[in-house]
Amino acid sequence: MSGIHRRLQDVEPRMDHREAQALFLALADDDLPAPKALEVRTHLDGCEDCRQGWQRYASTVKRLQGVAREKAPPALATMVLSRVRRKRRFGLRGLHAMHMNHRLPVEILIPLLLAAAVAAFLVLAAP
Amino acid sequence: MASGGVLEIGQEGAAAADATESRRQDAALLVRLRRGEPDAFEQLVRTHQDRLYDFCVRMLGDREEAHDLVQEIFVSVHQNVRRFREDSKLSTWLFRITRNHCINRLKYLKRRGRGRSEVYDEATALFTEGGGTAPGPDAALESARERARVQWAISQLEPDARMLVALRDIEGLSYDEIIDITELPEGTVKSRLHRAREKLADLLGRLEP
Repeated sequence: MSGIHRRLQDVEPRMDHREAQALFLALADDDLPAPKALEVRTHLDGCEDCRQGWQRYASTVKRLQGVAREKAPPALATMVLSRVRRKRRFGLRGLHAMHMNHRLPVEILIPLLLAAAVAAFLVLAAP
Repeated sequence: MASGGVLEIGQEGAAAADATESRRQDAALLVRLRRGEPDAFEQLVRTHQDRLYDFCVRMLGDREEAHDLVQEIFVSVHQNVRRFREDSKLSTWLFRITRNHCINRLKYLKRRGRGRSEVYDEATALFTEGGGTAPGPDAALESARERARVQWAISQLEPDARMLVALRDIEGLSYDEIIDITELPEGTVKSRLHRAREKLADLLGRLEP
């Protein structure tokens, strides 16, 4: 038994299963400080269930990291650019510009909208 | 295994230099975008389209939907680029917009009654044809099957968990970036990701012979 192992057993209580499993994320990310990583590895050496759990966990992370990426379809950029052009021509920006250039005062706009609504109602209600 | 793990001193310096260079390029591109240069927007689309498309496929599990959504996302980016405050990397901001669009699209699809089971038909068919068998001689086919198996497993997760797996394990983003994108505390990100990985390990384990 190495000096480090002996010190861990003498000073700190042995790591339990739950604690070891909770550290799988950090272990997979290589984010654990060396003494803590050693503690987890020591637990895994002596616990078959946790070792199997770790192997499943680590191989899953590896599979996710190695899975082939989806590539965007070749025409995507062209389609985006044409959508943007269409939007610029007919979109809200156009409406906004129109509103800025031909702004009607509210006291005219509201009666006009009301009149249009009444007219629409009469047309729809007509036999 | 880790993409955000402990770096050697030399690597740290190189990573910092890369980050500075990337920031400088982002800033230059943003200046051109704000001037309304069409070439700049095309460059932005071509630089980020693959990553955003891949993320959308992971989230939605449907290439057609992802194709449509990525176009919408870039249109939205085009309209809002002037509002970007440069408080994060450009790619982080793009992922934040993409995440919001994906969540909205998933809600819309749910309302329309398009659940997961319909969405992942293609993937399911692919891995059930040859799933659980030894790898065939055709490496491309095996790679496609592996992709389908992984995608099927990811599709079984809740959208929040799916997002964390896609951002961390597939896109390889750092926790800082993920926190920025998801606006979740670090502890929540890590505990949800841990549970998601455990569930994936379980699901993928069931597909083994």
